[in-house]
Amino acid sequence: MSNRRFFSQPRLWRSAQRLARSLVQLVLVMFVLAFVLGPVLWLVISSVSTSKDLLQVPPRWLPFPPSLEYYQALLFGSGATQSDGTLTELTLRAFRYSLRNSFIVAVGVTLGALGLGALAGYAFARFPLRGNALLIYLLLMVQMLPAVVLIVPLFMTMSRLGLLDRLFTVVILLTAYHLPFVMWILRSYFQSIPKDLEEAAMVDGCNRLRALWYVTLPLALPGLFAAGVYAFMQSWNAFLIPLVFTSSDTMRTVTVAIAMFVGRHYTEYGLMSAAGVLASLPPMALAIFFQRYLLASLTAGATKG
Amino acid sequence: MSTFILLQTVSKPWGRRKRLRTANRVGYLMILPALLVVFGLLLYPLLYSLLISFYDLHVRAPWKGWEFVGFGNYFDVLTDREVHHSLGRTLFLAGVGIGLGLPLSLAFAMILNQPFPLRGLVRGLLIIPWIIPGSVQGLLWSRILEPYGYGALNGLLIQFGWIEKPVPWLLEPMRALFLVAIANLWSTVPMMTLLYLAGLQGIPQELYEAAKVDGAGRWARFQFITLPFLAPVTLINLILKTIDAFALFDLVFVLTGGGPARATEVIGYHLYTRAFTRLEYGYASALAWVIAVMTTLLALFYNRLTRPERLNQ
Repeated sequence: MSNRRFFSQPRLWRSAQRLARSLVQLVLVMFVLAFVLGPVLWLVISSVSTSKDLLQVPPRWLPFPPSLEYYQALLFGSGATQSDGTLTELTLRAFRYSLRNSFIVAVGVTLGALGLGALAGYAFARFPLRGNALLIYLLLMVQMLPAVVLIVPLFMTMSRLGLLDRLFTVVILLTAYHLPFVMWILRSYFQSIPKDLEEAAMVDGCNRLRALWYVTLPLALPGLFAAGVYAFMQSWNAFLIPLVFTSSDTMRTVTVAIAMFVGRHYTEYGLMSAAGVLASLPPMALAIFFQRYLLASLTAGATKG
Repeated sequence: MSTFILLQTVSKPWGRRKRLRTANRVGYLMILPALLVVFGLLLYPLLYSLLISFYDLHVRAPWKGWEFVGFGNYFDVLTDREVHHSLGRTLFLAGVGIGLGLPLSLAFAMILNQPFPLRGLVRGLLIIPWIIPGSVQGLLWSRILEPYGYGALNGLLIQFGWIEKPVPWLLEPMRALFLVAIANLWSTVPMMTLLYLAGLQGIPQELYEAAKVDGAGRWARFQFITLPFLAPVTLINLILKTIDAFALFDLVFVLTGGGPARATEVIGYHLYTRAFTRLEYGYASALAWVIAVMTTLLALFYNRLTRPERLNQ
């Protein structure tokens, strides 16, 4: 069968066309993936290279077997094994502290924002309060301001109150900063839940708070997840507020610790990269776990503010 | 309203108004904690900084006390060349984000809107750059743009023989600013792509079929159906991108520290250095208000676009 006759058969021609099209599609998708994942991949590769691999020109692209020495040093190391001696035990300890601090801050902010936000969001959804809409609008506007705008007066106030260099301060500031949006998400969730159920509970003798706790909140669980994931990620990734309001190495959050790290130990490529990967893991895990809810809160962010 | 209708039937008729008021009181009580936190930590500082912006605080010479300077700080801010430059850089970042970012994310969305295996997974991966903390992004790009040949960019170019000696990418001012813009683009384009994908899903398929029947080609369909339908998303992306540029801080802090020679000192970073390196609180507060007004105008515009009727209920 000659080539021409092969292709002149319409069905074969069409499937060849389809094949070509899906090949093009594949190449394009690969391009998108390379754009999105390429930079991250390089960070991961650097984090599992040995120090020798990292100092080659051009670099060793696929270090095999991957070495976990940097992760081990960051999580358990004492600093003594590092060859050039620039890394003190203190640096490694400070990193571990910073991981812990970030957890405290992120969990604190999530709980705080959910607690306050659920109460307020519920009230905004259920009571015909005066100035309700305007207030939410105002809060959302304030929240759209870059944090840097608020930082000077907050710093002055906190330093006068003697609240600098405390995780508590970071937690309440971030809670306040993310509360309006959390409130907004929860309010629209509560609005979507029919009132009948909690009214039935109230007829049966629940007071409003109990009805909220036992009837409405369980129904609003997806909304709570969406808002909670949002709050956790935003506060884990927060930079400016922890940077300004903490100063000692044991109070830094991990984002700030990494910035300090880059400043002090720029040539510790592998260790820095491993630190970066570790700092990205918790929000990443959360995103994988709660992907559905996360996308819900993101599109809420896009379409509702 | 059904709550209150129900309450009315449960309670005695004459008790209705009182009932309503107590119900509302519960509502106000529930809002109170959130309001205290937000007013205390967002609105109060905002007003406090308005006050400060009219004073020279003499932070370095506290014995002089606060000195009222009227609009002096605002005058300084508006005539300051450094402010003009950092504002220019910020707008440049926003411009790159829009000029390159919008077409790129639209293209990405068109690509990912076609059916292909594992499409859900690939779309899910799009949020990765957004998840990575800004300071880690700075670290990541400093690993890529590393000047000695150990980084990915120099390494790749040397590997393929396009350059012989490693290039110190972040040493030249304009190039450094452009690369910061690219680094920022990396984390924002996937987000914009997701928004575009959501927008694409809202386009009724019948339109495409009708257009096809009428003989419209691929490009015509894109131009006359897809683009107009995506216009609101484009506008949202545009405004969010601009607000983003005003808020950019951590990436710059880690990647370039504002350098070289202040070439990457965007407006937020400039404010930070004025406040915490030079301790000019009054000046910084005035600048903060200028930034606040600019972003609020953008945000107002944004809210108007996205939320026309919901709040008027």
